[in-house]
Amino acid sequence: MYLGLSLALLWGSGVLGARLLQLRSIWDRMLAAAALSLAEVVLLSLAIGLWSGGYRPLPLTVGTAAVFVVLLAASIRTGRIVTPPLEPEDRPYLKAMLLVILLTLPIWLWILFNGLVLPPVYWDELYYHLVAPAIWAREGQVHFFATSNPFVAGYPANLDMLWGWTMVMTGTDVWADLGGLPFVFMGLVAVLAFCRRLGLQARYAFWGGLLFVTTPVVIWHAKASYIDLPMAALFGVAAYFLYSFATEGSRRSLLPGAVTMGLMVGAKYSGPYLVVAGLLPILYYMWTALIRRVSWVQAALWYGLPILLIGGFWYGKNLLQFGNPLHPMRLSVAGVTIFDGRYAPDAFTFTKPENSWVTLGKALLDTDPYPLMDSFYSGFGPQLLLLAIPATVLFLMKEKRRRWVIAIAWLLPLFLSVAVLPARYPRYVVHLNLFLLPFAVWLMEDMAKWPRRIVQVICISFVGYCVVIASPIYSVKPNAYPVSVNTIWAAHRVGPGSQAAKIQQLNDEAGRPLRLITGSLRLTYPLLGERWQNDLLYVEPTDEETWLANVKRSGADYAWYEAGWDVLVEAPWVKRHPEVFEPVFTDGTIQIYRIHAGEGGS
Amino acid sequence: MSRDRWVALLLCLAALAFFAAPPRRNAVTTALTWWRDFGRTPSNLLPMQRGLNVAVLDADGRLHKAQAFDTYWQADSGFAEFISALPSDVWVVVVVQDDAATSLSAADLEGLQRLGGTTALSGRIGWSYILVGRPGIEAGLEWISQKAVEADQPAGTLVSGHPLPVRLRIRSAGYSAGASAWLSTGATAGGSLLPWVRVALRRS
Repeated sequence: MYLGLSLALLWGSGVLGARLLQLRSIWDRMLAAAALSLAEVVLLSLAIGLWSGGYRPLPLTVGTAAVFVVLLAASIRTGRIVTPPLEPEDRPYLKAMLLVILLTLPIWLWILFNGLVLPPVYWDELYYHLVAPAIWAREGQVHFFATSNPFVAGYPANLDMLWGWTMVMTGTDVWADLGGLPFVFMGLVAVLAFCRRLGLQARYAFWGGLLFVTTPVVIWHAKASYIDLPMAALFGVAAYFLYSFATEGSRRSLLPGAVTMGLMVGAKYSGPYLVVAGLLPILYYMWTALIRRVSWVQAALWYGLPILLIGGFWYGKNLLQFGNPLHPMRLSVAGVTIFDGRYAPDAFTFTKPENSWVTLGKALLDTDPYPLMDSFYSGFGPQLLLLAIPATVLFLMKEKRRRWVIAIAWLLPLFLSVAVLPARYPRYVVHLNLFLLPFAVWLMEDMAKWPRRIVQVICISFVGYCVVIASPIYSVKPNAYPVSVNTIWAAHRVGPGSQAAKIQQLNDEAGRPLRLITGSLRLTYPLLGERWQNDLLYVEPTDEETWLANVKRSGADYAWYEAGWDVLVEAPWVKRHPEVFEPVFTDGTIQIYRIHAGEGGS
Repeated sequence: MSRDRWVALLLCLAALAFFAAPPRRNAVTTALTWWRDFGRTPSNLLPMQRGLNVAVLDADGRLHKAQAFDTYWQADSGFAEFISALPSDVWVVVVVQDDAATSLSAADLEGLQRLGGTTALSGRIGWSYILVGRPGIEAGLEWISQKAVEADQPAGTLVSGHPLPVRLRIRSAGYSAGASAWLSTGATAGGSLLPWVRVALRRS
């Protein structure tokens, strides 16, 4: 109930916010409403959730209602409550959008089915995306705790807060695991909106939308609490608004673009690089406009402030907590380490392990026979290589009037984003399809009737191919579905989180929540238990004596380590104290010790 | 020929080359195999892991719990404790995958005996083994072999005087027989929608 009510209020607030911005086009209003709603989730989660007991369904819903009421009052007061009329060409566009959704409905119903019957089974969601939201939802507060998992400790969590919103409202991870699904439709609207802005006919824009939503990575990520598809869709939305600003110079476009950028900055460490890419359309306008409608200062403020407000929190928090805003990443400039961290950031690794453009080329040409969420190759579908890229080249060759603004304000930001996001995983750069498919639409519209028909038939074969290879849930073997139906948590055994079975056994044996000490744990989420009941503790290995005393004092039931844990500082200490650490289980991937605190323990 | 025709022709050729390439054919074959299995594969109720794969069925034959115990690797896998904690009115199916004898402890053997089994598995490294029993009964149904063993017991089969509530189709393959464990009560993955709906409601 709370989830439905709060989502309705969020969307209502987003719609009112878009009206207050006086956005004329329905496509602008839809995208702005979505971006503003998402920003509201982040800001409310922080403003209310940081207080003890604030991260609960009632306070968050009341907060959402309060924002809605304020925006409603502002809309009435300013006379902006009335929906602006549709423009003539919007109606066929809306029909095209509905047709895409209707035609692909079986896919989304299949995704919904999987989301409802299967628990999260993919690597990153078990590793970090769901961990902190589950603990916050359990404890009713957004807070920062000691953990051996550096990504849980430090990675920016704007989009994880969306998953957290559904988890706190419902007490399950079901809707979080379906979190990618709304972003499929956000991406669809962005594709259609850009086609509309290019002045293309709706009947051909339909094909662009269809080819985008059936992109294999898009389908795979619809059921996952990953943030790659959301980032792709958000970058498309931000770029759309910034392109609009580049062509019109309206602050109404700049603000939602900046809000969307802010969401991305606070969601992934590549966000700041994308903000730089987003500067290009702004600079284009400021340098080329004959009569500027905004000053340099205004442009800087309208672009910079929302980004700082919505995306800056995690960097400030990391700076205070770890002395490194990018924790656990390392920031080096020209060989000089500015902020030290455990990992090199993904961005700007042009040559490691290989040039990102080489990797991207392989991803375009190759296909994994067994495509998975994290496949190195495959995922864009043939529509990118065979249709969208050649169409973009033809567009730039033929459209002499528009090519410079398109190249600088649309394609150059895309180029930069690909340059800083190595295509190590195609999921990082799936926005390529979103950005380039509108040019396939242009090509189709530009063609004579019969060649166009042939291209449309080829598009149907692309869609069929993509749906076939992307619809299986490869991480779950078909014969595991009935197991998951009968014992839901058992489905973790078919994914990388096989330790879920063991934690369930230990919980059953103890008959109560457990306290677990972990070290360098990657698949953290399953250890929380099916109802997030277990406590995960991290005892920092200072020196052997202190560490051992702290372990005993912690009241932990078990110490839980993953394969390769021998490199940990505390590994020899564990082995030197069998009276405290009794080995009870190993299967080659995990090592579990029962902790005997003795007289000195709790 | 006009530009449009050239574009259409080149696109046709490129699409043909794309789809004819082995990686794409493999991807399609893999996907279609997955879907075929999804439609046809009977429900395997076991976790399919090395060691003793255990399914606990309730009095109506519905799966209550499924768990694997790696008695190849561990003498204290938890199997004995698991069995001793079971109530007396459940059915238990034990199926070996790969090997369950290497580290099988005396307590584990007692657990098997509690379900109506024998000590036949002791020392039989890499053998296939099936036991259908209930806690506390005298004699369950037991199969053991160096080759794979299969059992198909119709509903109503008497096990120490208790009729089986559902048909059980079971297969065990030890190390040299292919290492697999299978238990089906007859339903297929694409069968009744009701269990799926029940799970969806429970989870959401």
